Amino acid sequence: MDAIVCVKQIPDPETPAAAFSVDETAMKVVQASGVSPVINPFDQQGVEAALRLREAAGGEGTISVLSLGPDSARDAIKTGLAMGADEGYQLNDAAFEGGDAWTTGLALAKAIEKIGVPEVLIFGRQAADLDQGTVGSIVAELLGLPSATVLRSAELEDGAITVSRVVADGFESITTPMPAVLTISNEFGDPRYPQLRQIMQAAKKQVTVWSPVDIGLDAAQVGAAGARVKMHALFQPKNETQCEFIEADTAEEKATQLAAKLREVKLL
Amino acid sequence: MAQILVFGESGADGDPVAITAELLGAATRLNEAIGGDGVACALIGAELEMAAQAAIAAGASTVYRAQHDALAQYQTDSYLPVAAAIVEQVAPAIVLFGQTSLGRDLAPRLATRLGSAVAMDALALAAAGDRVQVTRSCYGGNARQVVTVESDPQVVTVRAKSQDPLPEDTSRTGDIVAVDAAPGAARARVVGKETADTSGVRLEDATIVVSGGRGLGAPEAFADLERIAADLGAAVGASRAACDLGWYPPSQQVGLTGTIVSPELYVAIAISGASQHMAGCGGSKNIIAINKDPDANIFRYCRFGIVDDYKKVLPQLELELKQLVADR
Amino acid sequence: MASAGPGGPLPIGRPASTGRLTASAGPGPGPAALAPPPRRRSRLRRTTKIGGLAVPVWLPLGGLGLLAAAETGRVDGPHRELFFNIANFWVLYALLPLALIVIAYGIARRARVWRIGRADFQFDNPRVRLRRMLRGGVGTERVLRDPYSGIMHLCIMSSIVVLFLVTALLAIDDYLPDDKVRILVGDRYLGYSLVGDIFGLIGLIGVGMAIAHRWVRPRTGWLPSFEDKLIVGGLGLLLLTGFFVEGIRIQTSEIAANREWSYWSPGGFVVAEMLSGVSTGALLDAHKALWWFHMVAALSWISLLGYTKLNHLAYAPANAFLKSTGSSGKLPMIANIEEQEHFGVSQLEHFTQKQLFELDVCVRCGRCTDNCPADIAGQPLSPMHIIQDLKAYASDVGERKAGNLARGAPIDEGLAGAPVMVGEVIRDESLWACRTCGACVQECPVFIEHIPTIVDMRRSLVMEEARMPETVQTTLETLERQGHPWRGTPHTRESWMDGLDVPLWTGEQEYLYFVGCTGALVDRVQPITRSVVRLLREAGVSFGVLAGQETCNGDPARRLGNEYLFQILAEGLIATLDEGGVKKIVTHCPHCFNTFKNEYPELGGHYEVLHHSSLLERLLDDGKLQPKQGGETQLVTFHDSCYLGRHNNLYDAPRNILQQIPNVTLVEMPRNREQGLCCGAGGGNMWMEEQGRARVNEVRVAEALSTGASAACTACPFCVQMFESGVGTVQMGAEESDRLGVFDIVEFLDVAVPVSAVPAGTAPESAAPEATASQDED
Repeated sequence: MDAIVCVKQIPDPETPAAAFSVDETAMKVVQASGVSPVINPFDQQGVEAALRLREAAGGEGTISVLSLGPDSARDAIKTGLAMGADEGYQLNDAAFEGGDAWTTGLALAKAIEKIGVPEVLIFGRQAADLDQGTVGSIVAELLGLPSATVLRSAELEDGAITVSRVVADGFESITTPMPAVLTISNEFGDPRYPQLRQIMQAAKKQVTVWSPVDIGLDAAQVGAAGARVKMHALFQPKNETQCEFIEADTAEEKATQLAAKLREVKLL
Repeated sequence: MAQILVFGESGADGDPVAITAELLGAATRLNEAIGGDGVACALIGAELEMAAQAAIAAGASTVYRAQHDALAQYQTDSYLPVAAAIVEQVAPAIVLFGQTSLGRDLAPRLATRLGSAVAMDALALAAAGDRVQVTRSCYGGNARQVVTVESDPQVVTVRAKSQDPLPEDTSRTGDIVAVDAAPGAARARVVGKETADTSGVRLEDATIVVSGGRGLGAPEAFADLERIAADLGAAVGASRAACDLGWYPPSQQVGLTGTIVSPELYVAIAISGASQHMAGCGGSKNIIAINKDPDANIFRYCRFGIVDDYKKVLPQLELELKQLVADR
Repeated sequence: MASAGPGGPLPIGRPASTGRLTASAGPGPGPAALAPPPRRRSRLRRTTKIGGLAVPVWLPLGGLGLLAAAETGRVDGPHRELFFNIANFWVLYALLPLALIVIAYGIARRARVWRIGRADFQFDNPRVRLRRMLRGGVGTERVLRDPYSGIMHLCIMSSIVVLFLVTALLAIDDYLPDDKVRILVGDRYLGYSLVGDIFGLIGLIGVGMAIAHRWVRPRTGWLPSFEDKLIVGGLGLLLLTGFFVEGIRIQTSEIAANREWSYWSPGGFVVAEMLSGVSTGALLDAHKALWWFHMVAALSWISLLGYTKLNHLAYAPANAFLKSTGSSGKLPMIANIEEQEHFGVSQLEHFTQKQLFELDVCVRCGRCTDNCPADIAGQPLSPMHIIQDLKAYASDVGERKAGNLARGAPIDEGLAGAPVMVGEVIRDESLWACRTCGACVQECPVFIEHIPTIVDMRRSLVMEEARMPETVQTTLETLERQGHPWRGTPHTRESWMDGLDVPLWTGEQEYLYFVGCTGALVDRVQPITRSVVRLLREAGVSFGVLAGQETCNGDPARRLGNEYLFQILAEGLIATLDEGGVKKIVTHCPHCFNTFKNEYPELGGHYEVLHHSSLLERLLDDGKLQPKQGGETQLVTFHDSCYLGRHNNLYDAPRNILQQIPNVTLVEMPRNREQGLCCGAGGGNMWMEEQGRARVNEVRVAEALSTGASAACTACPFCVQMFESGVGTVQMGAEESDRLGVFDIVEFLDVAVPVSAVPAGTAPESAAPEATASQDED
C-alpha cells in the first residue's frame, strides 16, 4: 500500500499564550524565542495513520511525505521520515510564498500527480495555524478522488478503506474505494515516537525539492500571484472580561453566593 | 449584483435547523449592505418541506429544493454535483455554509469545483464593496484574521451561533423551486452510524453547557456534571484533555477540534482554559468557572469565578441550582 | 519491612530516631539567637556506624592465634599429633589442587559470559579504588551498617578466616623439622587451640543467626534459594564436624593423659566429655570417617566459591575496586553516539563486562530493594530482582551466547525463541519506576551500580524501541521543540521576572544564576526563584540570569533514556554558556547542579558549580545575609534531595541555613541524609504516572508528618512540588492551617532576612552597615 502524507510546518501551537505575539503590519506571527516551528500535529497523526495502514496491509509499500514550505519545512518532512516514512518531497521556491489554500492545494495535487497517485492520500484535518481544514478537500477535488474528512480511524478491508468520521452527534462509518483522500483528526491517537536510528537515517535522507516549473505550473499560478483569498489583517483579540471572584470562607458559601449572583443577574 | 445563496440544513426528520436561520439572517444583512438581488436558500435532502417553509419564514425569498431519497444522508459524492448544479442555476455572488460537519466537508470541494475559493469558519461578516470581509479565528484562538475571497462566487462557512437570525415571520412568502439534479454516484458510502449517547440536549443547541476538564481528576466526576446538567436542561461538554484521557466521548469535546459552542451560560469546572479550549467556548455569552488555581486562564474570560476545589463546591451548588430551577 | 511506610516499623539497621536539633545555642529570640550557632560540620545524625570496626576487629583476632603461639610458649609441652589416627593423609594434599581446579573452572565458565560484554573497565583514581576495596570489600564496611546482619556476617567471616589460618598454620607446623622450631607446642599450642575453638563457636553463632534470618524469621527482600542452604548448612556442618573430630581426638588421645590441655579446647572438650562412655575402638573408627568427611566437605564447601554466591569472598573486593569513582549522579556517556550500532542495552552483549560481572557479585541480601523508594511504595521495581533476573538470564542465554562465540558462530544462533531481555525478563514498568535516587547503589554491600544498568535498558527502550509511557513521550517532545519539559506551561522564561529588577547576564558578573526550566516555568517554583534573586541582591552578589537565552541542560532527557537529546541540549547550552563567558554557575535545582557539575565536564563544559544552599550558607557565614525576623516558632523537618545529598554529598549546607533562622527548630525524619527517601520525582518520574500501591511522595509526606513538624523544607524544586501534591492527598480534607507547609530553604531565609533600606543591587559595602545597625537595635 502506497501513501502520500501532506504535511505543513507551523509555529508550535503549544507556544504559551504569554509568548504568542503578532506583527500586525507584516500580518505574521512573531516566532517565540526558544520555540521551534513544528510539524502540524494533525499532519503528524496523518503520518501515523499512513504507517498503521501500511502495517495492516503487510508492511509493503512506499510512504512519501510531501510539504510545501520554506527551507525550515524540511524539518517537518524529516519528522515524518523519522517516524518511518520512506521518501520526502518539498515544494520550495520563492514563487510559492504568500499562497493560500487554493494555490497550496493546486501545487500539492500537481506534485502528487508527478510522484504518482497512491492508494491513499492523507492530510491532517486542519493546520493548527490557520485552522481552515480545506487543502485535503481541494486536492481531492482537483484529482477527482473520493474523500473522507475528520477521521478518528481508518482500516483496510477487501481493497477498500473503512473509516470512522467524527460528526456532530457521533461517528459515521464510511467505506471508500481507493485511491482516496483522508483527513485525520486528533481522535486518531498519538503519533509514535521515532527510534533514534530512524532519526539518524532520516537526517541523512535526501529530500527531493521541486519548484513550480518542476510540477508543471508557472509562477503566476502559485504563491501570492495565484492566491484567491486575500488577508487584510491579523491581530490578537482583546479580552475585556473582568472576572468577579466569589469570595467566602467556605466552599459551600461560595456555591450559595454564586447561585445568588446567577439569580440576581437573571442568568438562571 | 447577484443573489446570496445560503446552503441550509435540515434535521434527520426534515425539521429545520438553527444554523439555516442564522445564515439567512446574516445573508439578509449582507444583501442590504452590498445591494444584492436577494437571498436564496438551497436545501438538499430527502424530506425538506418543513425546512423549506422555515427558510422562507427566516428570510429566504427563494428556496431551491433538491429532494431525493438518495440524498437522505450527507455524502460528499452525492451532494456535490447537486450543490454545484444549484449554484450554476442561481449564479450567486456569495455562497454561505454553516461551519458544520456538512459545511466543513462540502464547502471547500464545491468552491474548488466552481473555480473559486472558500473562507472557513467566519465569526463576523462585513461588506467591503462587493466583497465579504470575513473575520475568522486562527492560531488556536490566539489571533484573528480578516480575509476576503477574491474569486467568484465567494464561498464562506459561518460559525454556528455567531449570527443572529431574523425574527421568524411565518407570514413571509417565497418561491420553492424544485431542483431536478440527480445525486452523484457515491463512491464512498456511509455504512454505519454510531450516535454518541448525549442523552438530551445537543451541545451546539444548548443554552447552558456544563463542561469538565482534566482537573476533575477522574471520569466518575462527569456523572455529577450530568446530574447538574439534567437539572438545568443543559448539555455536558468536556475539554480535549478529558476526552483524550477517555473520560468522556469525543463527540462532547468542546474546543478547537471539537464542538464550538456559544451558549448563554458556559459552566467550566476544573478546566484551565487553554486557548484551544477557549476557541471552542469563547463565544459564550457568560462563562463561570470553578478552579483551584486562581491564575487559571479560564478566569480571564469569566463573568463569575470561584477559586476552590470543585469537589467541595459542587454538592452545595447542585442544591442551590435545583432550588433556582424550582423557583423559576 | 521494605514497606516501612508511614508509622510502620523501621527496618533494622536504620536509626529508629534521631536527635532533635535546636537552631542555636540560645533558644528563642533575642541576642543569643544572633550569636553564630555552634554548627560547623556538626553531624546531625550518624547511623550506628560499626563499619569502622571491620578491619580492626577481625584482623587482630585472626592474628591472635599466631601471636599468642609465637610469643608465649616454651618449646616442649602440650601439642597435638596431627595425623595421629589418619593414614594416607597425602590424599588430602592431592584433593587440594583438585578443589582449586574446580573453583577455577567455575569462575572461568562465568568469565566466558562476562566477556561477551564490552571491555570498558575504569581504573582512574587507583588510590580511591584500593581504599574502597580494603575498607568496603575486605573490611565489609557497608555490611556492618545493618547491625544484625553485620554481626552475623562478621561472625561467619572472622570464623572462616581464622579457621583457615589455624588450619594452614597446623599444616605448616607439621612440616617443621623438630620441636625447637615448631610453633604449636607448649603454651603456644594451648593458646592456638583456644583461639581455634572460640572462632569455631563464633562461626556457629553466625550460622545460627543466618538460619534465623533466612528460615526462622525471614527478612523482607529475601529471595530463597538452594545455594543458601548449601552455604549456610554446609558451613554449620563443617563447624560441627570439626568439633566432633576434635572431641574424639581429645577423648581418645588427650583427656586421659593431659586433661588440663583439653581445657584449652573448650568446644572439643565438651564433645569429648559427651563421648566418654563410648569405646575407644568405635571412636577411632568414627574419627577416621568424620575426619575424612570434614576434610572433603571443607574442600567441597570452598569449591562453592566458583558456583554460588560464596564467590563474594573474592568478587566483593574486586567489585569495590571496579566501581566508578565519580559521583553516583553521573550517568555514563555514550561517546560518538551517531556512530553506534545500538543505543543503550537490549542484549546482554551490550552491557560492559563490569556490568555482567556485577550480576554474579550480587548476594541477594535485598538491601537495595529495602531502600528503594519504588519498592517502599509498592511499585513494580526491586533492584535486587533486576540484578537477579539478569543473572538468571545471563546463566541461560548468556552461556549460550558465549558458547556460540567460542565456536565462532553468530552470537544469536539458536536463540530465536529465547525470552526478550528488555520487556520480558525485565519489564518496562520496572525500568520506568526507577527514581535514580541512588539508595540502592549506596546501600549495596558488594558495590553494585544499579542505576547505569537500569538507565542503559531505558536508553534502549527510548532510543531503539521508542517504547515509553505516553507522558514520557510528550515530555521528550516538548524538550525537543521548546527546550523545556513543561508542556502546557502558560509562562515564558521571563514571566517570573515581572516586577522584579533582575540583572541580565552580561559576561561581567561573577555568577550565572541558572534559573532552570522549573524555576522559570512552574507556578509553584517561581517564588523560589524570586527569593533567590532577592537574597543574592541583598547580599550584593554579582550575578546575572540568561532569561530567554536559557535552555534545558538536558538532565530530564538523560534520566529518561534519551542520551541523544541530552547531548544535543547540552552541546547547545555549553555553546551559549561559553559564548557568554560563564565561569561560575549557581543553581537552585539539584538536578541542574548535578548535571553541570558531574556530567558537563565530559562534554567539554567546565564550570565551577554551586548549589544555592552552599552559596547562601557562605553568605550567612560572611555576615552578608543576617536572618532576624523570627516569626512564629516552628518545628521544621528537612528533606534531602537525592541529587543534592546522596549523589553530591551536600547534607549540611541546607541544614546549617535552617538552623541560622531564628525560631526554627530542626527535626529529622527517621530516614534522613544518606538514608533519605526520594520524593518520588527523580529519574524523570516527575513526568510519569506512578503505578503501584502508593505514591512515593505520599509515603514521604507521611514520614514528614510523623515528626510533628509544621513545615517540610527542601532545596529542590521537584521535591517541593512532590511534597505539595503529597500533602494534598495525605492531608485531604484537613484545614489549611493544619496542613504541612512545604518550602524551599530559600523561602524561609527570604522571610527571615529583612529587606534592607538600601535598594537592592547596590554595592555590598553600602548594604553592610545598614545590616549592622539594625542588629544593634535588636
